[in-house]
Amino acid sequence: MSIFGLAFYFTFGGNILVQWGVVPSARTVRAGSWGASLAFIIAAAFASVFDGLIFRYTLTPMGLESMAPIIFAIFVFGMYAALRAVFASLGKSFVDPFDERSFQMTLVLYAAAMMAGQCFSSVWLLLGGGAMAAFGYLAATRFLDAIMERLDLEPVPTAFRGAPIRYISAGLMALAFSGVDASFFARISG
Amino acid sequence: MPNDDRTVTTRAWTAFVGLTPLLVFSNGLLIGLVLGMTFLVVHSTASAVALLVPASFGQRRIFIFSMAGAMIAASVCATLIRIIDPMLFESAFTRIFLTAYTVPVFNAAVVPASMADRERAWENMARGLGYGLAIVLVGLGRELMASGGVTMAQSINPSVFLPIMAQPAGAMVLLGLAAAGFRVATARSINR
Repeated sequence: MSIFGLAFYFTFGGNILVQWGVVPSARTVRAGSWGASLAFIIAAAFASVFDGLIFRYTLTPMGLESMAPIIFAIFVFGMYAALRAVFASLGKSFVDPFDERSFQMTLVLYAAAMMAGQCFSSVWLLLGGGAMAAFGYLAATRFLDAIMERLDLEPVPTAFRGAPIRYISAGLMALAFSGVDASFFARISG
Repeated sequence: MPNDDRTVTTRAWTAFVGLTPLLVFSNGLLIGLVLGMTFLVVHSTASAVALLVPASFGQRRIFIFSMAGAMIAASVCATLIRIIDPMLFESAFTRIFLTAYTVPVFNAAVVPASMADRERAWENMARGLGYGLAIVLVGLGRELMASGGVTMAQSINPSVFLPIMAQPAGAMVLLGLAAAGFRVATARSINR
């Protein structure tokens, strides 16, 4: 993957996640501050490096690729325990994130980690790929949110309001970006 | 009425939306069967562990145990698929691993809040079966629409009939249309 590929992830990385079926939730970005978004991007970058390196240099040589989800779970729970410890040392309370938003974010982290692990080889590209995918996902969330707000002004049939039009909008976004990917970026980046 | 109905989110609908990655990846009967069966095993494992671990362990620990059980179940399923058909594993391993990170599995791993919920835990198993069946049916429907036929063999059915249905974008459009159809059908049955 060349620098063009990285630029692609920077701009349209979210498209890949949309194509993975990780449909951005309306609350994902709205509920999050800039700090939370930055923390999410950093988490995706480190998750990609961890997952990519473990998969390539430990699991694959030993023929244990099937263990990948367990390794990622160890990473997620390890990060969770580390965050708790940091909050405890600072004397602040830590709220258990057992809600739909944190569940979806975990899925996005996993998808970004696996995606970057498949596309990139070096540590820096893994780090960049994970971060760009997360950035792209947040951007796609903003795009989809803007589309939904614009559609509020249109006479959408009652049956299509809410989730159906959200799905169809996400599908059309994925279709458009996959066209751009196949005809332009994939040719440039090889 | 706003187009994006953010206030009305039932648990079942949220779980179905959380299933979207698997529905998107399920673009054929074979992959649908693989994903559906893996999902059923993973979901059942998560809900069973959440139910069987003593409540004295605390909500957080039980959730972690349940998720660890779900990950191990996903790994075991992936290993079995690899033993049965290595080519199928190579083409589907990223999709198989996604099963453990879907919202329905996370929900199943949360410990039942009350004794009544605990007694209704079998519904979780039935729900997992329903979700698994939905994944298989979506795979079947998409392959049928994309190629005009259904086969259990890999890479034999070319997507010549309606190719978009084999793509992720087609899956999301199909899900949107299905959700709208379901809404119309529900509204009609209520009016009757």
